[in-house]
Amino acid sequence: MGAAQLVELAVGGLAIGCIYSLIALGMTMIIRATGIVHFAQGEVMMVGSVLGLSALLLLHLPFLAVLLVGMAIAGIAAVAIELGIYRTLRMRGTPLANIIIATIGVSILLQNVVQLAWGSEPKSYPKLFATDHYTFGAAKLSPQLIWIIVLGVVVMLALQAFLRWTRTGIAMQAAAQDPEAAQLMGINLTRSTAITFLIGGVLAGAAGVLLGSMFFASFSMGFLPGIKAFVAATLGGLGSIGGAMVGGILFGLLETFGAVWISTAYKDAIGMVLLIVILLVFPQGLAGLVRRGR
Amino acid sequence: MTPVLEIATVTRRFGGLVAIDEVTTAIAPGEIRGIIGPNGAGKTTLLNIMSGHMRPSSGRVLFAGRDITKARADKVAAMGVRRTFQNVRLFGEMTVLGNVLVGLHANGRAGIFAALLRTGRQRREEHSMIDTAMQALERVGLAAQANTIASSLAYGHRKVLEIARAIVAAPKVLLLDEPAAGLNASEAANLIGVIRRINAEGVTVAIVEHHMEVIMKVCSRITVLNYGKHLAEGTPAEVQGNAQVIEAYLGRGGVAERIMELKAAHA
Repeated sequence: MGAAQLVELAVGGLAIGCIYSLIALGMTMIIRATGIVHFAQGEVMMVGSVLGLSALLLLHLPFLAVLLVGMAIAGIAAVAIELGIYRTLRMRGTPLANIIIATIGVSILLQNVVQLAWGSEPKSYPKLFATDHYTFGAAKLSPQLIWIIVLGVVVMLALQAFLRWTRTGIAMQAAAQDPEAAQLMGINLTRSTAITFLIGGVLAGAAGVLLGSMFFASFSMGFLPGIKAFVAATLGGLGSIGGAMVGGILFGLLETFGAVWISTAYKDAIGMVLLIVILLVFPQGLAGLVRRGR
Repeated sequence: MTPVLEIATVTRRFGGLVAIDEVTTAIAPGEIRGIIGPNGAGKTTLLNIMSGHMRPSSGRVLFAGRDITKARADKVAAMGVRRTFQNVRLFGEMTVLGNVLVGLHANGRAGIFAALLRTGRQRREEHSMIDTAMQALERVGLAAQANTIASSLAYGHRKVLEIARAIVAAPKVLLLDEPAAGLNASEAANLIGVIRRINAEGVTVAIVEHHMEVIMKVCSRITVLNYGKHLAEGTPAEVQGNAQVIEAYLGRGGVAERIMELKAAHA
């Protein structure tokens, strides 16, 4: 394999990895705040992608505006699901395991609703960039992939700044670490959890528009990336925000190179084998390894 | 004067167990109230009810004359009732400063959109919040550790960090659950100074504590609970001389009666 091909593959892997990171970040934040493993996160991403494309086709918006629309719609959808379903279940004292099963129900429900309203045919995003590719030496890089990496990294850095430096971000971290104590410090838990879902949805919506722009948008596009993001979050260390970022990017690279070096036919299987190996060998993930090393 | 905190015939049951049994007491503004009693007397339960963490089974809780019996804990905290915990409950992954900033949460005005858009008002608010948080750390003597991760602090420092987090929002009432437990003599002496300073700034304090030296030194009045019942109330001297209190602590017969006999002999 030539150096050019290696660079092209690495950029492709980084781009898909950024998308997994964005979905995994939402999952991680939700796990931290509520203990819920949100299996519908991939479908929240799908909603952002599908409705982002609708906005693009109906209103002829520029790409950045489509990205913002997809983020906003996915964020609102996630909050509506939290307040309407998960919060109601929590208030009734439903065990956590049952709520996690409910997230699978939400995942199937969202797929069916979108299939009915939007049709089963995958629809491709129109060509978004004028140039076909940038050339770096012998490597030809698609502008789309570069943009995905840039935007993905910007969104993730913004999230870090938000969590570390803003009043709401600090309150969310406190509520995730000890909800009762946080409430006794004056933090409204309902609001804090709703904002967690909002941000998780916004990140997934960004992932949806970026992923849709690479391939196409369809009602079923969220399922596999959702599962893979879960693997990425586990790889990073479930519940670790830095771990979800690194885990997603690492998983994207592993999957891309695995497909080339082993076989494209086993591309999806490679990820699932990885999940089982992680759970068997180091269930704490990368975050656990870092903690142990300290 | 309206009491700042009033407990009116409050009962709290856990299944068949009556943890608090028709307790009535009123804490006046500016007081340092001690709440003592043998293990299982219901002291922490009473503190939980005062802070809105737990609802009473019956009876009412009033804050400055306002009924807060059914108010949510975050609302009670925002009104100005703050607390610490018996088994220190800090946000361990955050810095010392971050923990104190959480205490200020209810005082902030800028909403989430202002936070995301980084408006000028938001930025000014953040700066003044950090100043306020640093002042609170200085008051308990932790300013030098502001950027340490909270879980790596020594135990005595963690206890006073909880106090800084509770006082940063300038509460009207500070509830302390066993602040002296596990502290050595010099840390306990420092704690007494901290509590007195906070009180001198106009904060009413209620302390649940087993450490009698701390209680007798700082409290203006003491409430004694026994088996969930209100047993006695008065100044430290009055409570120390109360026959029922001595009996509750030492048991009837033997030692307690010997002490009473000795006291009678001296009188």
